[in-house]
Amino acid sequence: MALQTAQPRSPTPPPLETRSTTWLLWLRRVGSGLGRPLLALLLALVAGVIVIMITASGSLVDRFNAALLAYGYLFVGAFGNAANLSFSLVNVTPLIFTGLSVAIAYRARLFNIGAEGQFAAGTILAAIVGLKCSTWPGWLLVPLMIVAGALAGAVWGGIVGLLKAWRGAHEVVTTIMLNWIIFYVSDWLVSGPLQAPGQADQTPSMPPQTNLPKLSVLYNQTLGHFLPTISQPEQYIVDISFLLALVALVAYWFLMTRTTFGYETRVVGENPRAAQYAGISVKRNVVLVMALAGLFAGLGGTLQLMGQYPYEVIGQVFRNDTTGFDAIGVALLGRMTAIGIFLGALLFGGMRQGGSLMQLKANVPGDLVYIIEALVLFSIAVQFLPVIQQAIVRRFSAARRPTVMAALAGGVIDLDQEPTNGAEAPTMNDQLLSGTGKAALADGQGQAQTPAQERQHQQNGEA
Amino acid sequence: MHEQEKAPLAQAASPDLAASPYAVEMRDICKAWPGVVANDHVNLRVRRGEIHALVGENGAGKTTLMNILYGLVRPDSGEIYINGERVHISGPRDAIRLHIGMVHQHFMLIPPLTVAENIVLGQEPGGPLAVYDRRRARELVLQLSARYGLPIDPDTRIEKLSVGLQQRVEILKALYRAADILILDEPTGVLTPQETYELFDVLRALSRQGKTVIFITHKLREVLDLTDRVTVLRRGRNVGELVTRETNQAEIARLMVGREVLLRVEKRPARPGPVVLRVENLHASSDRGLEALQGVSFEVHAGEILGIAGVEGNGQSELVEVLSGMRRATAGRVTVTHASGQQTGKTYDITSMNAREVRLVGVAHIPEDRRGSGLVLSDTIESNTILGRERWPRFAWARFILRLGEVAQWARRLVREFDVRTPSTRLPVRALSGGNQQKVIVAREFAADPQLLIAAQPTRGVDIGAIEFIHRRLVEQRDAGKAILLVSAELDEIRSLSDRIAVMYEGRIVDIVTPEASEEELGLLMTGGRPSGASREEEAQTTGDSGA
Repeated sequence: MALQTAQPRSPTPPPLETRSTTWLLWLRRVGSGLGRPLLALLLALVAGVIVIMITASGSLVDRFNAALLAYGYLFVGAFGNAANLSFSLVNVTPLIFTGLSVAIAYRARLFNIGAEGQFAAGTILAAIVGLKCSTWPGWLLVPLMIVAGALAGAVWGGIVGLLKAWRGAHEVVTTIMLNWIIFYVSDWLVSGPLQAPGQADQTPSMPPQTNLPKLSVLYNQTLGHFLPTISQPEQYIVDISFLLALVALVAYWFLMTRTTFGYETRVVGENPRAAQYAGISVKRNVVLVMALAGLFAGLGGTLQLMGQYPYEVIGQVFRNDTTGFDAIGVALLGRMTAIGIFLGALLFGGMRQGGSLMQLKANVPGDLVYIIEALVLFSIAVQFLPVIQQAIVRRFSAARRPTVMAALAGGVIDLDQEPTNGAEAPTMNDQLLSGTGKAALADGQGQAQTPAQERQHQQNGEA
Repeated sequence: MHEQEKAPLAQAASPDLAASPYAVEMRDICKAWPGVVANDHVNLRVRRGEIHALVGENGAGKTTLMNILYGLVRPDSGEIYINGERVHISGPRDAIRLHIGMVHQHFMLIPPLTVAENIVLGQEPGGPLAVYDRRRARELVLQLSARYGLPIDPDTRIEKLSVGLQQRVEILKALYRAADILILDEPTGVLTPQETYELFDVLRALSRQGKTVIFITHKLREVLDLTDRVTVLRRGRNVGELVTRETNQAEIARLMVGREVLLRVEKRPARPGPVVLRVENLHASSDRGLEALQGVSFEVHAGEILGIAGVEGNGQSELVEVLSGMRRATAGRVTVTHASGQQTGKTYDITSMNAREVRLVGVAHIPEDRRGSGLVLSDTIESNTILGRERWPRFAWARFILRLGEVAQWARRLVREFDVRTPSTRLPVRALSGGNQQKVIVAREFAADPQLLIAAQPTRGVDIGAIEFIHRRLVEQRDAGKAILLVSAELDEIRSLSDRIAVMYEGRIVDIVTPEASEEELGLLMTGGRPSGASREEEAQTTGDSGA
């Protein structure tokens, strides 16, 4: 406290941080975290209404009603009753795993376009293990398959990391190439060595002892002894891999926010020079992060293979499957947070499920779902533009950031007040509460703006 | 305090100034950012052909005001007159049309392109549709460089140029666009003393040719050396408009800070203890593969500050990087010996350690580029206070699980002890001013209780208040028995803080002198002049050894 230049006149400086500041900052974070994805979703839904209104027939009111009806069935189809919900959750599970894969890579600012490939790698190795050791008991084979699938994914992702760290190969290029390699490898395996005798392009079913139990069945067998049981548990098809996905979400959250690994990954992603300064090995982190990303995706593939009918790998399935690519949307929509990824996966998985009922009942093409998905992504991508733009500017070292934010705290703001007793001088917290300081605390935008940033600010304001 | 501020304003209103039309006149400019008023009814009047200083602490609103003049920022209200005519500037394009040029603090150059390409960029000879005429562009640049006496090789790529030359390119870029009014935003922050003198000569020559120069700075000596008049801002308001030769450093400093400032560092004579850092015949390559260090040897004792002076680019950056574990030495040896009082402890060979290991040995490092490597700007203050030490048992359980509560407490303690102005430690560091960002680094590095402290450009680009604070802390650390290696481009800083000064030139230590050495002597050494006999022999010996 030696320097008193801009300190308020009060003899005892205001407490650095109070409950209200913390609370406000938290609220701000949540607000900015939820705001953009929700806005994107809203925009997409509004655009969807317009699309339906164009294609529907009748008066304007009829058309509008048709749109509302379609959305109603979309929702009911996705989450309307327990059976529908369980179908949705079946879609959600692999999306969570692949979404985590994309998100974890993005924490180190790596774009993992290869979640689908890692997903495939995991599925295939798990299938090989399952088929080759089909006589082994379940208690041994189940963990073995899961570990094998996770490792295969990790290796597939790790290759990307190694190429990036050693040769500087860009991960977008390498992941896409590795995707196709594994797609073709799987096609070959399924139509060759692993082909089920007498069947077209598909493997035999996994041994029954490896099939994961349904969530409802598990419930009846455990909690069901004490609580009301579920009748006809077989109709709720979601299996216990959904629970594992939730565990994975928690693990991701813990890893990223509570460990040195997450911390160092963040440093590597945000500022590689700072990582070097701190003695954090960028290369090691890049490899680890990509391997971990692959591990999550591989796990997703394995658990889907083991958890859902037909418990087998079908020819050309991966190249037509969009899970690993939808995952990019899930991760972006979820802003790389665990809870966000969960919500994003729920939305995407639910829409997939609800689309069929919508088509059936509201006579709106199920493809509308894809339009909405695309629009959500589009809105998100547009909001990512300023970030991309900044990245480019920074890259060319032309970045200028005048710091007008001077002293965000300190006596700047109360300078014009007539000197009063310390108690009456507005403190920083008052400033925050009065709202003038709040906008300045927005993530990273507290600084003075270049015109582009300024525009962004205005947009936020309108939002 | 308030009365003192008003006096200079009255001075400025003398009628003879009003007689000549101003090249630039800004009236009642207001601009508020969310949460902060950057400009509050600011007035600026710059006469044609003069060099006008715009001074103030960081965040006083200088840069905002100039960004408004250059059209980068729209003012909330206020009027701008250029040569007496009211103008509206809604973008840099307008500014350029009005013959206003700006040299930014962080250069706006494209590193992989050549000098000529950068200069003509956007206004290529032949217009936007023609094929780029390389030869014509070269010619134009050479003409320009001859006319204004700014020699430069038009074919070098920007990334190969020193900072000083890059700035020259920026100036040429503005002149190429026919700028009559040249705004320089803290141009000397990145320059060596020599480069600074050269820049001053250039600016004086430009002003003789009728160009008007607005010079943003917070270095008072430069104001007195170079400028004709001064406008002082504090917290977004005018606090003074002075004629340079009628004022002095103390007055300007008082106006800027709003109180009396200690311009000299007060310190007692050093009481050096045992040797802590020993560097023997160190060699290392630069990023470009050139031999940046060619046999550097020196020692730093506990309880002393060894200053490294030199024109930037003579190996200081590489030296600091090698010592702090960010760069591999190609030959030589670096050891750190723990010391407490006159007792010596264990000696560690840190030559091939990485930054994390070096830190563990007890070396703290304030990096020269705080935004580039010292901080993760988007991360919170809390996170930044453990950067490089995140695996220490204090902050992480089993080197893996962060003790977030402990980290938060630590951050709060540092913020309090080092007077970082912020409402919360959970804010991104980006939201802090430059001075406060630097304090976060200083706090982090000092608080780790190091044996050796490497401070590279510790006060670059921070305001007077923060400079004073950081200097005082450095001396405190010295008196607490730490060994301190200070690398700075500010000769004043080196001379006032150091107990011994080592001068670097072309990857070698040419001499080690006392801080009483005159500026001329240091300047001579820094440019490769002959050092005094005795130490020269020593140097010859060392190089001889390295050759053998």
